Amino acid sequence: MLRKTRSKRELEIENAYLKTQRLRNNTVTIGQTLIKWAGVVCCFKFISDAISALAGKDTSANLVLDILASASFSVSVSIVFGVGGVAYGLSQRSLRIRNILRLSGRVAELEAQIDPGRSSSGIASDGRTNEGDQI
Amino acid sequence: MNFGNVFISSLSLLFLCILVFWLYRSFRADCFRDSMFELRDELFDDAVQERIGFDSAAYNLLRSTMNGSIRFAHCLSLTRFIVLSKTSRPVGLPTDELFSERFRKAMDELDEDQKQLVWDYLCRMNFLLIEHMTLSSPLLLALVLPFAISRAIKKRFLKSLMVKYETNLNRLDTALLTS
Repeated sequence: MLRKTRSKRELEIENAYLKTQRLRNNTVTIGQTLIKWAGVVCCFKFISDAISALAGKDTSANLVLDILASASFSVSVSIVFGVGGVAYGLSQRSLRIRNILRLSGRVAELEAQIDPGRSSSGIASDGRTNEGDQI
Repeated sequence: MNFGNVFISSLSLLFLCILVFWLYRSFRADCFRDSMFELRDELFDDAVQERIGFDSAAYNLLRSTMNGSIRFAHCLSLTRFIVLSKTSRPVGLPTDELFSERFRKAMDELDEDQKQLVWDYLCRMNFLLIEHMTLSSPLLLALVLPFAISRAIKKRFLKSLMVKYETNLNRLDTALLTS
């Protein structure tokens, strides 16, 4: 769409607004990243605390045996189902991405024949987020 | 609690974190993009059928906004929405930059049927945005999901009852009508 030419003052206001928005966006991103990684760090902390509590008391072979003994039949089945489910989901996802890659170009081409001024969403041709848009 | 139990529990928690914070969020962004692409395609089809012009400001405004939401679906979250809507006010910004102002001007160019069509698309687009922000937040999802499931079950159950006892209900309705 065509836009009217802006005055220097208008551009300065717009620039200041965009800067403020970017700053707040980044603050939220930092907060969200901290929460995410805090969860992961906590899990590792639990594991390391458990290991350090046993340091010098047990051999590593005993620790492995302890883990294997704790993994009952139901736990083993849950692990297999969990890992299998995630693997299945990821393979379906890659199949979907391949499909998008195959079909999206054709759709865009046909739409551009009807509407030459067609605008695009700007995401990657396989439907994933562009590297440059990652916050 | 022995070492093995602690280890397996912590590992499960770790996988849960990865599932909720990475895999699920990426899945929700893809779902949202898919729904928004579907809506954008519908808008395109309406323009092909000349219900709205490809060169109309309203069509371009809606399409550009949909494109923006598709592009930045991965950053749309309830937290970001709350923070930005509460703290980031477009003070001093030229009014023709604001969505509301541009939308109002674009609507002025349309006839009544087109206005209704565009309004309908705007509502559906905003609904998808709210749905995405709600469902991509694990905390909110945990609060909303039980209600949504119970509502869906109730609706389906009532519908099946209505189909099953349609004749009996019709008799009851007739009795009520004629009483």
